Amino acid sequence: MRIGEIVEKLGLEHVCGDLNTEVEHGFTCDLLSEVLGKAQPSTLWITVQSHVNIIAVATVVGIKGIVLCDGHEYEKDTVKKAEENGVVLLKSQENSFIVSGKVYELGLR
Amino acid sequence: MYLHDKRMEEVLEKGTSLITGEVLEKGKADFVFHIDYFDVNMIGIGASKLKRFLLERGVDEELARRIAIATYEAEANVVIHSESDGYIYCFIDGEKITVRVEDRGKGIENLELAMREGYSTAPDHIRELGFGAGMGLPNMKRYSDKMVIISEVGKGVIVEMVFFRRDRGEDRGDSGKTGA
Repeated sequence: MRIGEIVEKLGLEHVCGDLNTEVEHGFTCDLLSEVLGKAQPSTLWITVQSHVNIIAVATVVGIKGIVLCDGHEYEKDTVKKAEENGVVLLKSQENSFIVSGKVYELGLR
Repeated sequence: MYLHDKRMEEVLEKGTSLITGEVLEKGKADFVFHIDYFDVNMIGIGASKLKRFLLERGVDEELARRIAIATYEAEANVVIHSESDGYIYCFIDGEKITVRVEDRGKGIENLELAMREGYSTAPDHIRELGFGAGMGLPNMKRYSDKMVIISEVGKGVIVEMVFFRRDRGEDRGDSGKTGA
């Protein structure tokens, strides 16, 4: 599914990255090693972590996009690193549970 | 296999592989990265560079991903726990890729505990960033085909991981898994 389609349907805020990027899976977690151990490639990652290291995690795992929940803000370095590595950054005012439920309803698994 | 013993000196000096016994000369490594920072925000720089390097060398994407994830965890351990700098070495040959991450820091006191999923000695301020889930060593074991970790308190940690090149389509006659 195109990330742009998810952005439209969920009313997410687009921070950076190519909205034509495709994702197949969703994964919700704030513990980096859990994400490293269990998330699949081509995933949309739902989290409240905003520090720059989430981009390194996304890059090694093959995560294509991140939804930062609960109205948190990305750190400046995080956005810069995401642009360098082609990771799509999104934001939501809603919490991880709600966002995950909506993404699930759209068909990501 | 997890070891606390005196073999460390030999490994550090001669570069003898803990897994295959062959000599891995650091000067001939295909990839070297110096973990020369103590800032947790920088964790993964080495692993990301290694992933890019492997992809450029034509390594299959799934294999590069496994290596990068395992290396990320080892790099994180050096930065969070070692209180020293460290090095990532990668050696590529036709049938396998070997990654060795070593530091000369404070070492691991109890390897049995450290290998247990969920066990972590990371401080709170690091856990708040999502580190310290106690999955680092278990993830390395999960993603590598063979792994040896050797440590002596006060002398550092050496982690060596071997990844077989299934991307080469060679039938090695076993699954490559040894249960470490």
